[in-house]
Amino acid sequence: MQLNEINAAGLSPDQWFGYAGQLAMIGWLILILLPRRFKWLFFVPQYLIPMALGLLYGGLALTTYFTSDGGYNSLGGVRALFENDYMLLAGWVHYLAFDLFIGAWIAKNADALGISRLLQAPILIATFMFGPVGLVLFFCMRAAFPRFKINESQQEVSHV
Amino acid sequence: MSNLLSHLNLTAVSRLLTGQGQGYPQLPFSLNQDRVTRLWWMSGLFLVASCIVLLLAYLFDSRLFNGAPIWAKPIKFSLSLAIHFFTLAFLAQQLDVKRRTGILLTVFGYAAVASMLFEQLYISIQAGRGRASHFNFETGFEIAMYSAMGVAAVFLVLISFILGVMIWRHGQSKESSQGLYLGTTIGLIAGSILTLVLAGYMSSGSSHLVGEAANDANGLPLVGWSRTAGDLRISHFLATHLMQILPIIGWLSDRNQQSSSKVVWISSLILILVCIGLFALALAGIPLIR
Repeated sequence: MQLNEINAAGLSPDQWFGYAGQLAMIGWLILILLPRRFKWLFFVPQYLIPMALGLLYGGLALTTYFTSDGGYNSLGGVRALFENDYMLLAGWVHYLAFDLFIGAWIAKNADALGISRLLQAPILIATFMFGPVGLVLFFCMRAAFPRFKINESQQEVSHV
Repeated sequence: MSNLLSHLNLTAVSRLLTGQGQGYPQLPFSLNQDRVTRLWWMSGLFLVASCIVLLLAYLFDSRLFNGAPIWAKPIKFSLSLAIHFFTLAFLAQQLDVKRRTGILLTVFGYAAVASMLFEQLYISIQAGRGRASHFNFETGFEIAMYSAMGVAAVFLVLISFILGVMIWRHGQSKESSQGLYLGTTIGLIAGSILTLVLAGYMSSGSSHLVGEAANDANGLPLVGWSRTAGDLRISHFLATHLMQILPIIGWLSDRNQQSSSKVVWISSLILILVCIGLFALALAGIPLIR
């Protein structure tokens, strides 16, 4: 199960990239299109897929990072780090995992604020395409409710 | 105690019946908590948020389109649409909750929000690509999108027209605040019709300018109106913002205990004439300010 064996068995970084992307896509489709009333369904984009992507990231990054010439100290170091295809893939999987988790967080908070699913869609699409842009959009909207605090014990959300 | 309980029960039932929000945080300005008000208020907030994100792109991006910074157009649209949806949320308070959350305003309210999202998204994407959104007949896709934008724009003024007619027929402000009532109904109805006519005429041409090819360099600050040619956007601007100006005039004259209906009727007449005058000025190819 080592990376070089996996690669020799025919699973190249490009194919990993495809599978990871499809997995994330399933999560986004659930978040954007499907109902929120089933806890187990929301669990998939919120925890299950980020967990799976996180594990993949850990495996890729920990095998590659320490033997790389690059590092996190400078833009040049990051560029050198990403010259390795597995590290580049790990970086991409990092985006996928964190963006989806943030998307689920936005969805949950937006439900609690009473933001219509119709309006949540573009915020989530923005998070999917340009991560922080969606987060900033949502922060700006939430800032209009300074006393808002999500009630974690009150998990059941009603629908707008 | 039992009194309190029955009261709580009643509010729960009435929330179910009227589409009142369930435990959501309060909207500001003591706006009602029903789903239609909340939808429009949140739409306004979404557009303000979009504007803030777009401002950074505006600062960083040096590209120009027709001589104007490429992000100026989506920023102007986000502000104008934000005002539109905040206005709808405010003015709809003059209806009782049952009518406000009825089938008509719900269906056309959601249609207007969907149209807004489509317009704002497409205008922003086209700006980022350095392409025209309106008046773009260059590719099959862009031609199709331009006509889809026309349909969406109709839904945006249809909702203000319907709301205006509903307030005219059933507005609770009719007795209590005559000025606000008249300003709202005339503002929404005349504003919607004039916008449809003036923007419809503009879109049937090939540019928003008369007497000059599309060129937005050296326009007036913020609004970007031409200083060298007739600009059809000016009358469209006034017509659309009658929806804010007239209700505000009415509300102010109510507060100052003037004969508010007379004030609103006269200012409506003047503003509509100004609007037509601005349209004629643009058709003659004359800029408003040189």
